[in-house]
Amino acid sequence: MSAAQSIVMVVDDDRDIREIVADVLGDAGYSVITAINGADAIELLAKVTPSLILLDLNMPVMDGFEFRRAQRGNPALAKIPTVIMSAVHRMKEKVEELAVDDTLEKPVVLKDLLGVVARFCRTRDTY
Amino acid sequence: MSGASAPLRVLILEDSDNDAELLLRHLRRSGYDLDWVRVQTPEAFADALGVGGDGVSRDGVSRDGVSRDENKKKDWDVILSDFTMPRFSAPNALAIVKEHGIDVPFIIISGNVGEAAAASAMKAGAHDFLLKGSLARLVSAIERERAEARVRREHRRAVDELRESRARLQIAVQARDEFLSIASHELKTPLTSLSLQVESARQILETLASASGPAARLDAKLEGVSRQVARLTRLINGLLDVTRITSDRMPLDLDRFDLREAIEAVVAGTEDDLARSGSSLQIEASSAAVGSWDRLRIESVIYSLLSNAMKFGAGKPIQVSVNATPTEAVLVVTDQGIGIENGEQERIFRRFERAVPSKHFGGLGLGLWAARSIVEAHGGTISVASERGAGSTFKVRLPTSNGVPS
Repeated sequence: MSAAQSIVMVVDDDRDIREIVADVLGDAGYSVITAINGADAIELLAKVTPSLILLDLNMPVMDGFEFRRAQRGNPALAKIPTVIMSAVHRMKEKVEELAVDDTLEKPVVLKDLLGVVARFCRTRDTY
Repeated sequence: MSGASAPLRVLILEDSDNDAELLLRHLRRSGYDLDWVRVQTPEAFADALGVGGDGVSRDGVSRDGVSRDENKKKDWDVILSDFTMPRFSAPNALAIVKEHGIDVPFIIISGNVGEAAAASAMKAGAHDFLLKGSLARLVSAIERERAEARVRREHRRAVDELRESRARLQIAVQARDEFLSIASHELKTPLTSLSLQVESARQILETLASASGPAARLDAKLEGVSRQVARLTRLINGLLDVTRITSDRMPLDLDRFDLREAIEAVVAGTEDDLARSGSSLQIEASSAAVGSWDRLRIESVIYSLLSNAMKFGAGKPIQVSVNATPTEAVLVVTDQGIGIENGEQERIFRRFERAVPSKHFGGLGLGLWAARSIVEAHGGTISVASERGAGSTFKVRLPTSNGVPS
């Protein structure tokens, strides 16, 4: 049933975050792909279309703000649901202009992470 | 006024040689050692005050043995001025004094110019007005004005010092807040990994379906780790709240809930602290206390009050009670511990203040200050009633519906 299984893209420059998020989402029945910054994510998005993007804000090369602008400017990518996952101070005010679908404030607890992902994605067990 | 004291520094504005000589003689006879300069023009006057520009005429300056460079920027004890001179006048001189914010006693010594002129000169900033030929009052006028000028100077210095130290303090507070903001941000990323790792490990353990043996022991350990992660999270959020409160920005995330639920959640997370404190906890909350508040922040208020009660409760019972009316919820936390002296009771709500030395009791000294800021942001109040050695009672009043914009 892999056709029904949702792919989640995790964009974060912190290796431990990428690994553990991929790990717990994998355990929960999702496919996960990871990118280390916005530019890396855009490259990957040429090949894969995820059901959800979990996006960090502060990253080298291309940060979450730039990525989001690029994403929204590209009709093929604009519609992919995007959730900011960041520790940035006063996040909600700062991401207002980015018009994202939701935010997760670090430190993130597992229950919140799974709750948000479940709203946008299906696991391989859904059907 | 004897020769042992410093000379009187006098700036004289006078066009008549005779009158100037009479004045100097009078002062010397009165016992003053003099350090004086006489001027007759605005340029020379400004120069003598150290406010003249380059190239101004120094005509009319006559000195008694002091070089001109020393003359510049002299701190004059008194200015003695004729009312009218061919090229200058007391009102003109007063205007220069005022323009440059110079505070030197200015005494006019003049022929009879009429009451109106005298009055207007006083209004323009002269300190006294004496008639030539009746200088009997001069010495007492000079001494009185010198004393008053000294008081003004000291006052100005005190105000300046205060302003400076306030500015220094503000810079220090700003630097610290900036640091806290960056530090807490940096700490949150590893904390996220840590928290998810622990929770994920516990989930894996669950699938091992072994209720006893090593799996159970491992799970108990991970539960401990998980509690510490929650505690670290609270501490870091507390640090960040400091910067938010300081910058006067505390957007509230309002949510309708029962205060009793928040208490339950906090109590569940502090069981270890309670056990360590040796105190027992009794909760009296028979009826619902529902309102619109920022859940996490209210929990942090409850946490501050509870952890204080445990810290300072001397192992004696702690009581928590909740009462509510339709408009207000009241939370009371009472301990029977060391108490707070009267004079300290206001201080404990300030930032980084504590009534006891930090080496005996942990914590950052921010809890009650943050609690007060949070409660006040909700339109409520927090107060304490306490007696040294007889415990403390903290009371939080929260309006149930919040008019505060979120």
